[in-house]
Amino acid sequence: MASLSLVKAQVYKTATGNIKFVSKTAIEEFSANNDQVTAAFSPKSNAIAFRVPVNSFQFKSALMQKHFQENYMQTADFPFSTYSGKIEEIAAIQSASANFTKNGSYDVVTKGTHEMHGVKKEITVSGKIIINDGSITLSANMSVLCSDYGINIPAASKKSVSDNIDISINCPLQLAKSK
Amino acid sequence: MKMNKKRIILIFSAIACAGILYGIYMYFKPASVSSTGEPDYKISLTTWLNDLDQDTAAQKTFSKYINKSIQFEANVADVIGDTSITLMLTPGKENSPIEVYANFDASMQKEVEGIVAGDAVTIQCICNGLEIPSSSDMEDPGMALLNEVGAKQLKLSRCSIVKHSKNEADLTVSREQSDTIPN
Repeated sequence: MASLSLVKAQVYKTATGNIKFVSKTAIEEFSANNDQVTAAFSPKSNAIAFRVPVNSFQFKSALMQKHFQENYMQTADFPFSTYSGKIEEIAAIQSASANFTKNGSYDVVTKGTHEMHGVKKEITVSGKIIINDGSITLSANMSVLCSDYGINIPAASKKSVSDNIDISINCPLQLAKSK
Repeated sequence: MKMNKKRIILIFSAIACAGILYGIYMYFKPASVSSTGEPDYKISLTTWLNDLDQDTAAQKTFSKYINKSIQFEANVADVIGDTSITLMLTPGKENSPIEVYANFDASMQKEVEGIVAGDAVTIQCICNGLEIPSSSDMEDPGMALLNEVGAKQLKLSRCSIVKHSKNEADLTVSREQSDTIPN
């Protein structure tokens, strides 16, 4: 029981992480923001996970938001996008960060499964673990291809919606309370 | 005959202009940052969460709420964030079987100013999703980790405050404090 509490005490989490994406083409650029990412990180098992409620993306344009939800991401059928993986070579980072206590920004590589729009893909993501006075922030930039996830961009929109979407994620985590 | 042709061209031109103007209006119409007006569902949070907690197929049946506006009363358990604000809510004083996160856009900061843990609110939000772990989630170490730290979560956004009542205990404290202030 004591060891179980210890494992749980070492889990960091948030339910209010941030994710942004940008679509850039020669004629149009648009972005959307989402402050409802659930994320968790266990230094002990080096597991890392994110769950994004896709419907929470806030656009500037009402029409773009509607198209994104209904035509591209079909959020009624696929309300969440997830990433579950492990940090590579965690021992070196643990040592450099004095077991996640020494302030600094540490480059990490994670390997895991990304699920979006009902399609799962094994991907590698480079990111950072930022430690600042006991708090841990997970941060990463990545690109995904809509076509890889069965997201169909109609021919009429191909000049204004990019197949290649740039994503940035920033999740300040708190030590999870034992349940 | 000529007159009729002119009239038809005029009518078609007017319809085309109206269509173009409507298209331009729709294209530039800003997305709503808060849910207002008559909600799609007015519900009791206690009943809703208990029903969702007991419904084994909740994630499927829940799709009817996705992107719908929901109005309910709740207690504030925590206030999270400094730009966009998220209220962590419970149906009453007791712990909830499902964690409820209600997000307010950064532009709504003034509306949520002064809300603290313990206050009662009636809010209206857009429903984004219910996170309930499936058995396949538990086999994946990352997903199992998410479920370990907050197994069931209800995510709401574009929230607006319908009613806000301060926590009575806080009011008693502030009344007592004002009583002790010398004249």
